[in-house]
Amino acid sequence: MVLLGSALERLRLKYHSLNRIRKRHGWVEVYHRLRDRWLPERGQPRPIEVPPLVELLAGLPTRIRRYDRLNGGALIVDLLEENLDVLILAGCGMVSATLAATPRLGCVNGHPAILPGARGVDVLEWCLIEGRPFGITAHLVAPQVDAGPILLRLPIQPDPGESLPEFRQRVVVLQAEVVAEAACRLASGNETRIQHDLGQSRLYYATTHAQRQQAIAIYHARFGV
Amino acid sequence: MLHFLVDSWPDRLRPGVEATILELGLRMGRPLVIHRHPSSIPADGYVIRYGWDSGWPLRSPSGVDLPVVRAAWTGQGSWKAIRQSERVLWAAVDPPHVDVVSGAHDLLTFGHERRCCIPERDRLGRIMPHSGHWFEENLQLEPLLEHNADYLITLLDSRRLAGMPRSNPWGPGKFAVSITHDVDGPRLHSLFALARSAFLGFLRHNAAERESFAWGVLSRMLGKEDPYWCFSRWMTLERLLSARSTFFFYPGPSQPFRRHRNDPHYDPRSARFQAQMRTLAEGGWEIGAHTGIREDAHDGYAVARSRLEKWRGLGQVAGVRAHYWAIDWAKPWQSWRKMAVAGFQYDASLNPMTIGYRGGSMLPRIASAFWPGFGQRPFVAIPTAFMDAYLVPRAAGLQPNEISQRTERVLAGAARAGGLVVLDWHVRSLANFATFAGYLGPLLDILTRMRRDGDCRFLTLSEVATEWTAYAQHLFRGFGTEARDHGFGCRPDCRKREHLPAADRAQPAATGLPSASGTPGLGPGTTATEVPFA
Repeated sequence: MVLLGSALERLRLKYHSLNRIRKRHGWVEVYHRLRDRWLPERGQPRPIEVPPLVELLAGLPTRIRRYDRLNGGALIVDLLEENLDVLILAGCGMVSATLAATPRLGCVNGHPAILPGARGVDVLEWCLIEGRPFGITAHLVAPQVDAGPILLRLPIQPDPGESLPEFRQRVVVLQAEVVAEAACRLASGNETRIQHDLGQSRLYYATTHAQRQQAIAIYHARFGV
Repeated sequence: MLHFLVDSWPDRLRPGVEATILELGLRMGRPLVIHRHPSSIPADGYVIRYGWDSGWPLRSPSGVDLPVVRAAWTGQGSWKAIRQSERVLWAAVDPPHVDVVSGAHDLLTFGHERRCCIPERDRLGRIMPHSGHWFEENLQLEPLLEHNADYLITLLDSRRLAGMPRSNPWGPGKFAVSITHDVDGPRLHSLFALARSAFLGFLRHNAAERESFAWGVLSRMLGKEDPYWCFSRWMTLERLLSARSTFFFYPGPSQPFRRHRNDPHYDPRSARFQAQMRTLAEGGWEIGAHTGIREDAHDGYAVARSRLEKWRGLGQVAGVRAHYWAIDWAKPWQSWRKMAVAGFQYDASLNPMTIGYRGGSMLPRIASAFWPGFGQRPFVAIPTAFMDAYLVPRAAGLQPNEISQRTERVLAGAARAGGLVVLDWHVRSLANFATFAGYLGPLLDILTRMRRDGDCRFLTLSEVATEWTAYAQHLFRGFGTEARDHGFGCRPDCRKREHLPAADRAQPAATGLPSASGTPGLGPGTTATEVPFA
């Protein structure tokens, strides 16, 4: 079963994301964030568009249900009714402890960085800025952000000639594969759990426009693309 | 059988003493008989004497004399919490004597509230759980009445008790859980709710209410289901638990001008509410009356009950809970009397405005035990230990660890001792966002713990009232020699007058518990018009 946020939920998620940016960096950064997404600067590659999930799932024996509110009681009760073993998070936003407790075995999240390491958001950019290694981690969801026990890790590097948007897109695909593998191991009881030592990690917040430009420049300098 | 001898008490005090003995006896879990004179006690009976004076010799040499602190019964005593290893007693103390029966009476008549809580009450007469040494010592978390009963058991001969297995009202090794829902404001899409959220959100700068307003407007514009109309989800959740709960609907004011401004803002006569009530009732959920804040003062209970029964159309409405817990806080028994006369079976308005018990007991009390005319239809007062907002830190004004500790203490006490846990989660709180963010988690945590413990039974409140009443009628075998024929509110024709003390034989027979003076039960320091138990 796939639970998709409704248009209302997507709107809410986007609003809260931009609101967090506004609180941290101000309205100018909100403007830059929106412009970078929809109107990239000349010479900068556009983000790669992917088909809607509904299209990707067409023809597959998968139930799709829409929810209006992540962490809302309606969704939580629906999840309890499904009596799930494992719940996989795929870019839905931050879930509450109550929601994360609904599946019997656990809630699995994919993080586009190696943990312990860079926790939080925009971690690809932060890894470039801070010189941290690239990778993907699947972990169990815990009350703190990206702090749960680690199930699976996959170090990765950009392919020769791979642009930053292409690398980012490949990270997304690999993230899905890593999360799926970790979820299958968890469901079958074959998972390996590594406790996340938060002392070795750092929580990162949304980047500014200048920091994103810096990250792009570092990527160009390191990988010549 | 435990034979309680309550002898030589002044007439004005005896009904209160006997009602207290009844409540303690029910919590001791053994069949009991109450005697006024030693001559009615069987020769081999095990006697627990609580006598005003010890002039009369016990007919049976087997038994125990409980100390009586007379000053406590005449309004001059002092009560205190006595902490033993794992329990707290509430007793009148006159060293070296510890009178737990008087302590129990003090709890049942809410005497402790008059002395131990802050003297100021809010505009509704309620006691806020801020200060006063009752709350400073967290005594509201202790099932004091049950502890007093346990203490009495420790005083008894264990060899005699061995032949009297302890009964549990909910079944061997079980405790009871009742989920309830106050239907206060189940529609975010209503103009009132949106206006209220807008006012609080933008003029009072409440971020959560702003979010509620925004979500309400957007979801309404997009034709989404009302996020506060959570009835079907509650039913789904409770089906997963194999449970049924009680929904308290506001029946409207008994008179239009009696509506309090804080009463729920919906018209229960609307088709949507009527349909929802029928859906719940047909599915086995209980419907109760959530009476308005002014209804107690204006005795609107009969109107409330008749309206709901007419709308629901499926039979009797057994229970009531006052909005804002707004029964008569100074004299709850007067509210219960009104409710009982209106035909209700139970009241669920006992709550100390925080997590815990009001009145010191986790179990129901037979408020009508010795009311004349109520022997065949007892009225039960049921404590509510948890309400949703009391477990959310920002709403309760408590730290998360304080809430967690208090919750654990209450749950552990109930599970250990065959208790009852009543949960009150408003219908809209299942929305779990904005104003009600974080309201659902504590309930799920409690329910998960209950199911993990494995020994709980989920009951509606009417089932609680019915089972408690049946339990009480099973244990309480009545008065005097003809105990087998007596019970609550025994009928006049079943009393053998030759077994009564001379003073009582002079009075005409009556239902319930007659007193020599003819006045119903009085507690210490009360007048004839203030009736704790009748």
